[in-house]
Amino acid sequence: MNLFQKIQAEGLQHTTRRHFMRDCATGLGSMYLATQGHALGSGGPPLQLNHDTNSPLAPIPPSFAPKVKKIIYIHMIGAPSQFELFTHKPELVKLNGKECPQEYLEGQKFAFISGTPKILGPVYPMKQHGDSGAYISDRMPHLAKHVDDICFIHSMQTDQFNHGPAQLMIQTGNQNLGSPSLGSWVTWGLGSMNNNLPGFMVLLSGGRLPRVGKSLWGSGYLPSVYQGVQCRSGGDPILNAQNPAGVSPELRRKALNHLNAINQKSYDKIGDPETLTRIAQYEMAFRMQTSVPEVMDITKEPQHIHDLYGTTPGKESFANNCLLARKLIENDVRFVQLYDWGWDSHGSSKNEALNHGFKNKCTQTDKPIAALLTDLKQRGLLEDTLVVWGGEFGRTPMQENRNGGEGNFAGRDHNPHAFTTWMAGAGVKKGHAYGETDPLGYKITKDPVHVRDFHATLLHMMGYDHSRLSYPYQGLNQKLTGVKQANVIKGIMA
Amino acid sequence: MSSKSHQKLSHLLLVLAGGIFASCSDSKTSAEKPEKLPDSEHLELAESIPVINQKISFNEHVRPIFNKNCTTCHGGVNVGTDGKLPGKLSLIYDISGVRGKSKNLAVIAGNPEESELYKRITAEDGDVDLMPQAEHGPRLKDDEVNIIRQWIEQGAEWDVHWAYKAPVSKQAPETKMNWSNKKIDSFILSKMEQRELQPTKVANSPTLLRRLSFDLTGLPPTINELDEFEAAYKADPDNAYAAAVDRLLASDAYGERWASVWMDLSRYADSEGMGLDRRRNVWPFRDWLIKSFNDDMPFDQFTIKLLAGDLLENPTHADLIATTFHRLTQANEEGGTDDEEFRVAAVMDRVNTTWEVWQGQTFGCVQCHSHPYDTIEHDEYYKFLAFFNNDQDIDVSSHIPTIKVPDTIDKYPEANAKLNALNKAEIDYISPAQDIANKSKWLTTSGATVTSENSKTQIKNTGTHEEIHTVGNKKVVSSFTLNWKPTTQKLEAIKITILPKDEKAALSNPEHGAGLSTVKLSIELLDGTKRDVPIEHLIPDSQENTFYFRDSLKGNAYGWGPYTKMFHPRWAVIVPTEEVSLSNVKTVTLKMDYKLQILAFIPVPDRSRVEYTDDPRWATWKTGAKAKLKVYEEARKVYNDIPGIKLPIMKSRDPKLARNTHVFERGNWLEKGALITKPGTPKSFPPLMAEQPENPTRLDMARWLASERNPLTARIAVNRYWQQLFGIGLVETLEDFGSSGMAPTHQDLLDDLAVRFITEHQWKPKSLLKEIVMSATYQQSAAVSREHRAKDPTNVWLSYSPRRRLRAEAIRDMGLANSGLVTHQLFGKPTFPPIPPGVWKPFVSDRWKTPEVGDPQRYRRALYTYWKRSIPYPALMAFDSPTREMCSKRRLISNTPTAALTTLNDEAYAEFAKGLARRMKNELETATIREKLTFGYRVTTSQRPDEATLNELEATYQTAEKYYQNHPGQLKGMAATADGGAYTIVASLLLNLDASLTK
Repeated sequence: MNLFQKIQAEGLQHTTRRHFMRDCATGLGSMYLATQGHALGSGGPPLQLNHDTNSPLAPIPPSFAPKVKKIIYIHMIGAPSQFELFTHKPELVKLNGKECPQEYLEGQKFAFISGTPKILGPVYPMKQHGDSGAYISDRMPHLAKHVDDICFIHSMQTDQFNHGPAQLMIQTGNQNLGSPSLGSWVTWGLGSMNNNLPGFMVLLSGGRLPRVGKSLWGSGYLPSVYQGVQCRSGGDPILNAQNPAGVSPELRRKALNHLNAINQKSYDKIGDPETLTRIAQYEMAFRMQTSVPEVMDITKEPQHIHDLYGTTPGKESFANNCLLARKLIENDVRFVQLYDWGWDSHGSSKNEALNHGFKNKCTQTDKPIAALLTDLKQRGLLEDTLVVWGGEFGRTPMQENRNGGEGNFAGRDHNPHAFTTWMAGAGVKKGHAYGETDPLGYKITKDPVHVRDFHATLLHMMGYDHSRLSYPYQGLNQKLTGVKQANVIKGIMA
Repeated sequence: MSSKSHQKLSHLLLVLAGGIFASCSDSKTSAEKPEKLPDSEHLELAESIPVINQKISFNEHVRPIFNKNCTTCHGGVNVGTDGKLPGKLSLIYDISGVRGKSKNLAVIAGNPEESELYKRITAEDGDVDLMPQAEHGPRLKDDEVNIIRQWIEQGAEWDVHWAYKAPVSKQAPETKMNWSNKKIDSFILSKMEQRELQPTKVANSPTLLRRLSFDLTGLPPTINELDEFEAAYKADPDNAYAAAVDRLLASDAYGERWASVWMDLSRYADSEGMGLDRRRNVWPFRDWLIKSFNDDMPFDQFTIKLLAGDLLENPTHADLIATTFHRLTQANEEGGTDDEEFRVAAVMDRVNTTWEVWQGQTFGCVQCHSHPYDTIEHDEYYKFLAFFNNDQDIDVSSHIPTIKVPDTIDKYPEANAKLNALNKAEIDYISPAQDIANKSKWLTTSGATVTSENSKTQIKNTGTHEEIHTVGNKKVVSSFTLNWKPTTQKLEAIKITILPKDEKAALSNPEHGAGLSTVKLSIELLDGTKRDVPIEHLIPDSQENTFYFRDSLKGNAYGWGPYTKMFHPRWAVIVPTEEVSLSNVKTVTLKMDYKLQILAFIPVPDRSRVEYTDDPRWATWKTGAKAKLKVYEEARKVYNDIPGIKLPIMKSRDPKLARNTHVFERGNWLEKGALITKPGTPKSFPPLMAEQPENPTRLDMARWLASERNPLTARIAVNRYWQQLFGIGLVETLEDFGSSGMAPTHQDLLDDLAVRFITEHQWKPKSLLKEIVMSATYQQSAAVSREHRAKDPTNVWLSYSPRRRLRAEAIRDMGLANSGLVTHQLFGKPTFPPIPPGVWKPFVSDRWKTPEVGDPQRYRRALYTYWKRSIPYPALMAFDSPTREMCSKRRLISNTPTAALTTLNDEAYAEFAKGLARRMKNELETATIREKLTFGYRVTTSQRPDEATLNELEATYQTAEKYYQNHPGQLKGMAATADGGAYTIVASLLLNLDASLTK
C-alpha cells in the first residue's frame, strides 16, 4: 500500500463498520465496496438533471449553492517543473549533483531515467512573497505579487506518467479516451448562462495541439452539445463562423427566415420535435456567428489593458488567450479552458531545457496570468470565478540522465507522485498552501490530493456532489471521479 | 413485516421499470431516463398481476429487485480470486440449496418464513440481521418484499438472464388487425395492439425510395430513380418496391454504407492514436470491409476472418487483411513509454472490443473484479485475454507484424504467392540450422576476458557458463569485446545468447531487450598476427524477429535480438564463411555492438553469453546453405519490392516464445495474480469446442463466437441491423445485453430473427436486410398525429416510422450527390477533402493536401476521408461521428449549432451549394424558376414541394436575386450573375432543410 491507500484505509476503518474489513478479501476490495451505497454518509442516488431537449444548454440549478459559477482552467501542457516555480526544497540545493539516494529509486518506473540519476538542485533562486510567505522563483515576478490571493496545492498526485494518458486523467478523470472532460461535466451539470455563446470554450497557445487532441475537451459519452468549442485568437475564432463568399449577413438572415418557415411547415406536417430543435439550433448558430467574433475581438480593448497583459491583437499567444479568457468570463461563459504547449522540460534539447526553453515559457506566461488575476479582481469577477493553474503531473527532483549519459541541458523527468497546482478566486482560501512533500519533493508526506479529489472538490465548489453527478453509460453510472473513492478537500476551500 | 401486501402494487411500476442497475458507481441508473425505458411493458404487467397467486417471473420481477437493492454487496464484485465467495451469498448465481454466512438455506421453496433471505429482508429496523443494512440503503419496499415472498412461495425458481439463453424461433402471434402477412409485422403489431396503438399508413413512394436508398446505400435517390420508381410503384407497388430493394442491395454503394458501421466498431482510423498519433496505413482493411459487404459474406465467416483469418488454413491475402481489425488498437509511440504497457493495453482493448461487438457485454467491468451483476468472473477475463496474449505485435513504430499489400485488390493473389515463397525460403534456410544448433555441444568461453566501450562490463561465472554482465548504469551505443582461448581444434559456429537477469520472473514480467547491431569475429595467431574472420550466416532461434536478423552482419544499427521486451532467453548462431582451424590460434575475439538508440530504455543486454562448437554438422550444413541463403534473400527482395504498403496484421507468436498470462489484480497490469494455464471462455456460456482441447487458439475462440450455439452473436448482429434501420434497437442498449442493459422491447421478434438469420438467411446480411425492409413496419409513414405520438413518444413500439437525421457520412455524401460533384470510385487510399483553416495542426508532421477544385479525388464519399484520431474531420464530428479511438457501438444523434454552421458555411458545403445551383440553373434549361426550384427541392428532399413551400423558395430566390442586382460586388467568389447567386442561396437553404437532413 502506498501512503495514499494507507490513509484511505485508515479513514475507512473509522467510518465503516467492521464487517467491511472482515468480509472482504483485500483492502482495496473493501474500499471499492465502501464507495458503493452510503457507507461514507455522502452520496445518495444519482441526480436526475432535467435537460430541456429543445434547449439543452439552459441553466440548471445545482444541488447546493455554488461558491464558484465560472472556471478558467489554465493547463500547462507538458507538465511544468514545480522546483523551478513554487516548491522550495533546500535539501535539493545540498544534494545538487550527487547521486540520488537509493530509497527514492526502488520500485519506481520512470519515462526516461534509467540507472542511478543525480539530484538536480533548483535552477532558479526562490524567495518568499506577500503576507503568506509563499515561495516563488525569480521566473515569476509578476505572479509573485498575487500570492496572497492564491491557494497552492503542493500535494497533487496522479496515476499516469506519460503525457497522453496523464492529460486525459486530469482533464477527463480517466486515462483512456472517451470520457467527458471536466468542462463538459460542468456544462452538462449547470448549463450555460449565455444564450449567444457556447458554455465551454477552449483556447490554445504554444503552437501545437496537445497530443491527445480534441478528446481533452470532448464530451465523451455525454451528448455532443456539451463538448468544448475551440476558439482561435488568430484567424477565424470558431470553425465556420464566417459565411461563404457571396453570402452577406443580411442575406443570410433573410434566407434563414425562409429556411425556418419551411422547417416549421415540415413540423406542422410530420410533428417531429427534432425539427423544432433544429430551428432553435440554427438560430443559435446565427447568433454565434456574431457573438463569438465580437467577444473574441480584442482590438477594442484600451491600451492600458494591452499593456497589462502584453497582448498583440491578431497574434496567437498565451497573453491574448488570457485577455480573451477574461472577456469570455465577463460574458458569462461557464468554463474557459486554456492550454499552453511547451512545458516538457526534460533537458533533451535547448527548447526543452530548464535553463533555456523553460525560461521563455515563464516569460510568456508570467505577466499575462498576473494580469488576468488583476483584471478579474478589479472587475469583481473573482467573486464567482475560479482560476486553476496546473500541469498533468510533476517533475522529478532527479536530473534526467537520458540514455545513460549526462544531460547538456538541465532537465527533469516525469513525476506522477507529487506536483503543484494552484487556484485563485471564488471558493478557495487566499494565501494558503496545502499539502507537503518529502525533503526532495518527490513524494507526498501530508494531505495528498489525487486527481479525483481535485475533481470532486471542483464539482463541490460548483454546487454538486461528485458522487451523485453521474451519467448512465455502458451499464455504469459514470462519474468524473471514477469508481474509486474521491474526497472533497475541505482544507483548500474558503 | 407490516402486512400491506394486499394493497395495490403502487410501487411495483417503479421497481420494475427501474430494473437497471449500476455497478462501478454507487447506485442505480433506474429512473435517470425514465422516458427511454420500455416501461409501459412493465406497467401492464404490474397492473395485471393481482397481489396473490400470480406467477412471478424471476427475470422480470425478482432479478430487478436484487439488482437494485442487493447485488452491490451480494453480487460478483467481491467473489474471491479463488472463485469462492468470502462468506457471502451471491445473488447473481442460482441460490437454490445455497447457504449464506448464517449457514441457513437462503431460500426454501414454498416456505418464505423459513428462508434466511426472506427473514433478513423482513427483520425489524435496527436488527443487525436486516438486509440491506441501514448504512447501505433503505429497506425493501413492502411491494418488493411481497414479490420475493410470492416467488419463494411459488417455488423460488431461478432463471438465467434472458440473453444467456439460446434464442428460439417463435410462432407469429395472432393479431386482431389484418395488417400484413410478414412475420416481423405480426410481432410488431401484436405489441402495438397490447398498447392500443395502430400502425401508420404506408409512406408515399418518394419517401420509401429515399428511406431505402439512404438505409441501404447511404446515398439519396437521383431524380431519374425517383421518376422511375414513382411510375413503377403506381403500376405495381409490391414488385416495384422489391425491385428497388434488389437494385440497391446489389449496388457498390451498399458495401460503402455498411462498411462505415463496421469502421466504428473496428475503431478504424488512419492514425495510431495516443502519443504521437502518426499516420498508420490500414486502409486496405476498410476496402476489405466494403468488399465483404458487397460480396454478402456470411456473418459467421466474416467473424472468423476478422478475429483469426491468419490462423485459417492457407490464408489468402484478404484473410490476413481481415485481421487488421484487431490491429486498429491505439499505439503509443511517445518517447519513454513502456512498450509492454501499451501492448497489454492493446490486448485488453481486443478483449473488450470482441465482447462488445459480438456479445454486447460490458466485459471491461471484469478487468478489475468479477462482474457486479452478470455471471462473469474476474479470472474469466484473463482466460479470455489469453487468446490474445500470444500474438506478435509489440507496440513498436514499425507496427510489426505486417504484410505487404499492393495498391489494388486484383494484385493480392500475386503478393500472397510472394509472401508464401518468402516464408518457405526462410524456413528452408534457417530451420535445418536450428535443428543442428539444438543438437550441437556448445562450450562456454572459459577464461574469457571482456572489454567494453561506454557501458561497463564484467565476466561472471555461473558455474556452467561464463557470462557478460553489465555493471552500474548502462549507456547507449555500447560495444562488448570478448576474448578467449578455445579448447577445440576447429571453430565451426558461435552461439550468442541474450538472457533476462531473472529468467523465471521474465516469463511474466519481461525485461528490457537488446538489439545486436553488429557482430565481428577475429583471431590472433600464436605468432601475434591478427586476422578478421568473415561471417556468412546468422541463424536466429525463431522466425519471429523484430528486425531483419541478418542486419547484424551488415553494420547498421539494427539486427537480431530480443527487442523490445524479453520474456525468454534468445539465441543466434553465427557461422563463419570458411572453416576456422584453431591449431595455431592464441585467442578468438568476438566484438558485439549494440547501437540502437531509443528513448524508453537502453537496448544493451544486461546479461549475455557466448558459446562455441566444433560440431562437424555445421560444415556439412554450410555446403548447401549458401544456395538456400541466396534463394531466401532473393525471395525477400521480390517480396519487399511489391509496390504498396505494409499493413499491420495479427500473427500468433512462436510457441516457444510464449508469454505467461496472469490475472491482473484490480486490473493493474503490473500486479500479476494467478497464472492462467490455458485460454478459455466464461463458463456461463456454451462450451468452447477447441480443435486441440489442451491448446485452444484464437481461431477456436472465433468459431465459438460465430457458432449457432452462441446465444448472443446472432441476436447482437440482428439488433445492430435493426438499429441502423429504425434508429433504436430491439434492445436499445446495443452495448449492453447484460442484466444492466435494457430489456428487449420485442424479445420474440429478436429471437425469431436471430434464429432465422442463421437458418433461413444463412448468416447473409443482404438476405436479412431484405426481409426487414420488405416489412410493413419499415414502410410506414413518419407523419402522425400528436395524440398518436404521445402514446409512443420514443417510437419503441414502431407504430410509425422513425424519422432520423442522416448519419454523418450520409450528410456529406448527400451534399456530394445532390451537387452532382460526387466521384463514385470504390476503394483506395484515404482522401483529403477541404478542411476549415486552422484545424490541421498535427502533433508530428502529417500533411493534409486537398485536391484542387475539379479534381475527382476532392469529391469522394465520406468514408474514405483520412481519419486522424487526434484531429478527426470536423464536418463528420459535427454530426456525431465517434473519434474512433475505441470501439463505438452506437452513435447518439445530436442537434447542435456546430452542425448548423458546418452545413451552412463549411467550404465543402459552399461548394455543394454552388454545384446544386448550377444543376437547378442548367439541367432544366427551358424551365421556369418555379420548376427549377421544384427540381432542387426534389433533389435534396426527394419530395415535391407543396405550394406554400414553393412560395417560400421563390421568395428566397427573388430576395437574393434582387439583392445581388443591387450589390453585384457581393457575388465575388460565388457566382457570375445575380441569378446564379440567387440559385446558390436557395441551394444552400435546400441543403440545410430539416427534410434534407433527415430520412
